[in-house]
Amino acid sequence: MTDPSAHRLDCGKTVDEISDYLEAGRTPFDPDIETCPECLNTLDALSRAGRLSRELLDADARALPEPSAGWFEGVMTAVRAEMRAGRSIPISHPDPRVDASVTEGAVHALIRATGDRVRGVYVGRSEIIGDVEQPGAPISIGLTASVAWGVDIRAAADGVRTAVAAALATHTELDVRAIDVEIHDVHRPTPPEERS
Amino acid sequence: MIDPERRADAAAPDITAVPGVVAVHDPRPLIARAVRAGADAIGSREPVAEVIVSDAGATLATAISVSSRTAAPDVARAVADLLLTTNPAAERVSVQVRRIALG
Repeated sequence: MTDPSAHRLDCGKTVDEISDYLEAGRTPFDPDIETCPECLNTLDALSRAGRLSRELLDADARALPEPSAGWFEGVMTAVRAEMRAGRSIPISHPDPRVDASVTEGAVHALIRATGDRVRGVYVGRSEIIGDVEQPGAPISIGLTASVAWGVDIRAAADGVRTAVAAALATHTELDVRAIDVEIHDVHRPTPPEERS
Repeated sequence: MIDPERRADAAAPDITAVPGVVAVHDPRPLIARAVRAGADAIGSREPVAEVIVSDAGATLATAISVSSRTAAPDVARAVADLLLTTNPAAERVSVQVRRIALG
């Protein structure tokens, strides 16, 4: 049996509640969701997954392969796991009185959003491996993704790796030693006008 | 009872004015917000401008969302500096980045 608390963000909302809110067009306005950073990260991730789902219904693309049956559920499961605040990743400050950090959830959301911005790529799962709470500890990133039909898989993986490395270098002080990208699925092409 | 003077001190820094900050959040977990037990446990007052100040004024804590256009560590440090400037007697300042919003 699934533990319901496993689907609950730190704020108390469930990913399913946020998914329902998204499907309702974000109406009526829910200030708890719209002002909560973890909820907003989840909304972003679900919005992108939903966009892919709509793209798969595009008539021009019906003849091409869909992601495997479990792909969307896998994305949902990954979002549930990733969007919690999680561990605190330290940010250095010269004053010892300061304890600055970025949450693991924020970094997961950044990785996912950055990967999804690479043309033809949708991130399935991301993993931050290593003792992120220890400054200077070696860290590796594991990613799975689905790539659009016709897109060069090696180029897509390289694009994700480069984009994620740049984002992490800008927004964290993690010592990232490796970014491993595994392409698990191939999906229908992405209409250019629907990508942001 | 909340000392109005302390509340005014805590409200003084406008964290949203720091370049790169797009939102400021209550740094406490939901359970603390819901039952206020967490706030009582750490001896803090209700947050002012989403900054928690401990009863002794020794600890300040806040949580922020930042724009991806500005490096998150730089923004966090700038917020910490602002809190230290406005509360020079603080013994501990906590700044947590909870969201990096892609523009």
